[in-house]
Amino acid sequence: MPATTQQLSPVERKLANWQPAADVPDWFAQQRRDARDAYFDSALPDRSDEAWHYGHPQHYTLDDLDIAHAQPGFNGIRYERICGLTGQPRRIACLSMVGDNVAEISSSTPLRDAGVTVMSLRQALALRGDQLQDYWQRELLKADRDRLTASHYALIDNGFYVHVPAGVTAPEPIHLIMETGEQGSVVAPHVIIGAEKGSTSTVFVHYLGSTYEKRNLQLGQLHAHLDDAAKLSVVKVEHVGLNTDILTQELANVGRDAKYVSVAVHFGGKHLRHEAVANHAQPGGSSELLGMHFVRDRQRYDFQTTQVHAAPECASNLLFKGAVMDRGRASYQGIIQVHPHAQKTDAYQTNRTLLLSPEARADSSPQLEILANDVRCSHGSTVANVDKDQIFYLESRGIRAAEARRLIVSGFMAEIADRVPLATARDYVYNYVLDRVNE
Amino acid sequence: MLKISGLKAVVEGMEILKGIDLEVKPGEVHGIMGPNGSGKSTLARVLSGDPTYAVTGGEVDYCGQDLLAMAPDERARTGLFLAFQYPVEVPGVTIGNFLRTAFNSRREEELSAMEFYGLLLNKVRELGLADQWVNRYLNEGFSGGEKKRNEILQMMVLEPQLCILDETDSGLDVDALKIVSEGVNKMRSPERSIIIVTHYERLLEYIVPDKCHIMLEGRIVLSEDGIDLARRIDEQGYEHVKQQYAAQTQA
Repeated sequence: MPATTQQLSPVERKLANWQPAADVPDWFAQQRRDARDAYFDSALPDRSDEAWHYGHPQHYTLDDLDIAHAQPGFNGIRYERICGLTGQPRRIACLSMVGDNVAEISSSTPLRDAGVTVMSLRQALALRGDQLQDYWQRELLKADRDRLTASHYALIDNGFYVHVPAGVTAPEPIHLIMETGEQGSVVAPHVIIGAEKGSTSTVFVHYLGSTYEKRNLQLGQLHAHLDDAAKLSVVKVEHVGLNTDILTQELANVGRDAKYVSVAVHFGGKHLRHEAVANHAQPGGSSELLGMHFVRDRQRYDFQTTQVHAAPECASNLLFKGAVMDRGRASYQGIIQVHPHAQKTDAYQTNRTLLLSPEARADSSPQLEILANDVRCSHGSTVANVDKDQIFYLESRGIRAAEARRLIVSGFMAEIADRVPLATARDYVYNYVLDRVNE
Repeated sequence: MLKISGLKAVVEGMEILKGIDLEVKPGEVHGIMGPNGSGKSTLARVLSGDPTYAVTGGEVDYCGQDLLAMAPDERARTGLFLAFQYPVEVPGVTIGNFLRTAFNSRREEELSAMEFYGLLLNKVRELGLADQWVNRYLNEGFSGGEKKRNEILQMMVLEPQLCILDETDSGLDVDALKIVSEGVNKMRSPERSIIIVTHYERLLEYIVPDKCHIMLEGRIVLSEDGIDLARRIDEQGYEHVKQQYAAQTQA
C-alpha cells in the first residue's frame, strides 16, 4: 500500500481505498487486495528487460485515468457494427460489457439446451464461485509478475465466463463484446473460457470503441483452459478507437490431445501490446496461434508470443501477419520453449510483415530455446514492401494500380482472414483492410 | 493494328532493342523467333509496358494511339495482352477474384458475379481444367505448365485485340501444348492479331503464322510470309542467319 495518496492518479486513489462488495467470494476479494499490493510494491517493467525491447511500458500506465463506469444501456456501439461482426445478434448468445456492466444482448436456446454457460464474471463469482476459483488457480499469469499485470488483476470488476461441459459440442458460436468506457477511463475485462473434456466450441471476442479526445486504456485478459481432447477456437477482433492504449494478454492451457485455435485480429488502438501464450503441459495437444494486424497512422503495435512445450508429442504452429502503413510501427518478439523431456515436439513460428509506406517500420525477432533433442522446430520472419512484379502483373491485365495493391494486400492477409470461422466477421475483417489500403 | 518503328530499349544501361521495325495487321498471326538473348522477350515486355525497361527511341502506334505514352493497365484495357514467360505468384488472390476484377476493369458496367463465373467456368473447361481451378491462388505453387495454361485462360476470358505470347510453349508437354494451341486457334479472328514469341518452331506448327521473323542482337533481321522460315530454322539452326547477318553489317 502506498504511504501517501497525494501523488496518486484518480484510479490509483480508488484502488487504495477499494473495499469488496458483499457478494464477492473471499478468495476473489483477497486476490484483488494482493494484486493491489503488488501494484503499489512494483515498478513498471524496465526497458532494459528483453521483453520490452520494442514496446514502451509507460504507454500502459494508469496515470490520468479514472475507472470506467457502467453506462446505461447499449449506447456506444452502433448496432450495425455488431451485426457486421456477429451476423444476427438478436438470435445468438451475445453478451456485451460497457464500462464494468455486462448486459445480455441475446441468449441462444440451442446453447442453453446444450448446457453451455455464458455469463458475466460477476454472475459467475456469485453462482459458480468454486468452479471459477479452480480455473483462476490454473491461470498462467500472476498479479505479481510486473506492475502492468498487477494493474489488470487489481482492477478486474467484470468480464465473461464461458463454460462448455464435457462431451458437448456447442451448436453455434458464442459472442462476447467489450466496449471501452467513457473517455479518460480504464477497463480491465477478464475472460475465462473453460472447455471440458471432449467438448467443441467457438468463442468470438470483440473489442469495440470510439476515438475520444482523452486517452483510454484497456487491460484485457483472456484465459482458455482446454481439458483432455477439448477443441476450442477463440477469435478475437480488436477494433477500438485510435486513442486507446491496449495491453492484451491471451493465454491457453492446452490439455492432453486438445486442439486450440486462436485467431487474433488487431486494428484499433494507439499503442497496443498483445501477449499470447500457448502452454502445452500435457502430451498430444496442438495449438495454432494466428494473428493479423493492420497498423496505420502513428499506431505502434508490439507482439510478444510464447509457445511452451513442457510435455512430449505436442504441436504448435504460429503465424502472425501484418501490414503497416503511414508512420505505423510493428514489432514482434516470439519464443518457442521446448523443455528437456518434451520429445517429438513439432513447433513453428513465422512472422511476416508487409510495409505499405516509406515511413512504415517493422521489427521482428523470433527465437528458439530447445532443450530436447528429438524435435522439429523452425522459425522465420520477413519484412518486405509490396512486390513490384506482382503489381505489374495485375496492371498488365487492366487492373489499376490502386486496385492491384488492394488485391495484393488482402491476398497477403487471406491466409489468416480465411480462418475466421464466420462469414460476417470474415467480411468485416477483409473490408477493413480493403478500405484502408490507398485510403 | 500495330506499327513499331525504330524501337530502342535499355535495361540496366544495356541496350537490348536496337531499332525494331514491325507491322502487324488485324487478323494476322506473326511468329518471332530468335536465339537466347536476341531480345524477343524484351520486345514483348516493352510492348506490355514493363517499367523494368526504358524506351530510348522509336515509336509504337497501336490502333492509332501512341502505345508508349500509355500506362501498362491502360494498354491492357485497350486490348493488349501479354502471356508471360514467367508469370509471378500472387498468394491469397484467387484466380476467380483476380479475373473478375480484370474483366470488370475494362467495362462500364460490371458483370454480375454469377454471370462472370458462368463465363469463366466455360473457358476453364475448354482448357481441360477442373472447376476448382478458379479457387486456386494466382499461380501459387503452380508447375511451369500450369502457369502457362493459366495465362491462356486469362487471354480467353479477357478476349484482347492484340495477344502477345512469350515462350508459351516452354514447360508444356505435348498434350497441354495441343489444348493450349486449340484455345489460341479458336481466338483467331479477322479483328484480332497474335504475336508468338518462341525459340522453338514447334508451337508454330500448331498455331500456323501468317508471317515469321528472326531476331538477332536486338533487331529483326529476316522476315518472310508463311511458316517456311521457321521450318528452315528448325532444320538448320540460327548459325546460317547469323553469318548472313554478320556479312550484311560488315558490308
